[in-house]
Amino acid sequence: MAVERLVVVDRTAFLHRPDYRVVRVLALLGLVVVWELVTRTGWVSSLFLPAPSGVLAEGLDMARSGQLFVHLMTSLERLALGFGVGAVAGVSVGVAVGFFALADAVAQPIIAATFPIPKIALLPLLIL
Amino acid sequence: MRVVVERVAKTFHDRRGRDVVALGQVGFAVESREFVALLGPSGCGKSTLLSIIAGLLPASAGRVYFEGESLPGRAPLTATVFQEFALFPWRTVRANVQLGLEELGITGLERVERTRRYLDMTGLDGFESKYPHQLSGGMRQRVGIARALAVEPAVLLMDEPFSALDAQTRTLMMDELLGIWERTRQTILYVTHNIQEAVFMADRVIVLSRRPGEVLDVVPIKLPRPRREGQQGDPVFVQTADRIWGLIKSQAQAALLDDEVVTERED
Repeated sequence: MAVERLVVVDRTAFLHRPDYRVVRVLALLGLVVVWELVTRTGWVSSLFLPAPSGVLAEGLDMARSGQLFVHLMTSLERLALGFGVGAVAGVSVGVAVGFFALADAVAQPIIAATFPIPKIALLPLLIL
Repeated sequence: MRVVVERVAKTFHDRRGRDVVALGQVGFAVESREFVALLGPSGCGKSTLLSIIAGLLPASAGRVYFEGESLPGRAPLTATVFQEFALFPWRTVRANVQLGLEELGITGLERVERTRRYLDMTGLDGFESKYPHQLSGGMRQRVGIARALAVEPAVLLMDEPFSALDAQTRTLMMDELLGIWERTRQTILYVTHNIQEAVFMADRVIVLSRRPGEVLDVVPIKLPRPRREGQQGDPVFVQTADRIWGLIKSQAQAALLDDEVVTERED
């Protein structure tokens, strides 16, 4: 039999994934640049897709006039109210289901049936 | 074939970008048909070194090579027996043992016969159709050993193969492994942190320091073979074990007090 010498090579080298950090940042910046170009060139009307520069300028205007904060407060109020109502109702039902077998029997099938529906899909229904 | 580990070093980078030196500079050789134990305190890079030899981890410096008469057929350079068995739960004992042969493209009668031979050798006769979850820890590790032996590698790498077993089972398994080694003279590199285990089984014990791991000494074990359990009371056994403990004691203490705990495989 032949005498030979075999050097061990890393057999997992193909699994090595370099960490392209610069590319990650560039990808995001690239998206913004393409977005800007698409509207600047008039390829997509700014009525449907305003350019990022336009969005920023409008935001600054609204902040200066104080309008932005009026709307922001309205949204935050709704958010707080919604969270409050939802949390109280949810925790109450949860505690009831945990403590009482009867409540569990009533609620569990309903929860199991409706849970997989993405919440965002219910949004249009709630707005109506 | 003999294995030569030549100035192998390994540095990991942890998540905060700091360098952790797992292996300083390690060099030794395992001769063909030899049973060598690699002993060291926890976290000294024993398992890291084994992974490098198996080609599962790149070394930061140095190299590992195998030399000697080339292996017959399609035999691989290494096969590993893992501490946690690493069996496929959906495969029967027979199918688990056969796995490496399938990977090597060995088919037909040769595959059947080789599977049979190693099932018998490891005492799995009658358990071929069981699944891993139906077996005790000792029986599971027999499957791990049979699977690794079946591919007839140049070197069998064993990474603390019996440390997940209870003490009695471990003693029995050590005896059986020695029996298999007497019959096959399969080259074995056996990683352990148990001094008695290393001295009882090995021809030579390579003692590693704590992290960064370096070879403290290579201790030849001058106990006659075949080894018997009774030899654990032999003065040579006791003296050798004492000598190794002397080498390793301060290292183990220092490792215990080490403030930074870094898992060996962190990358």
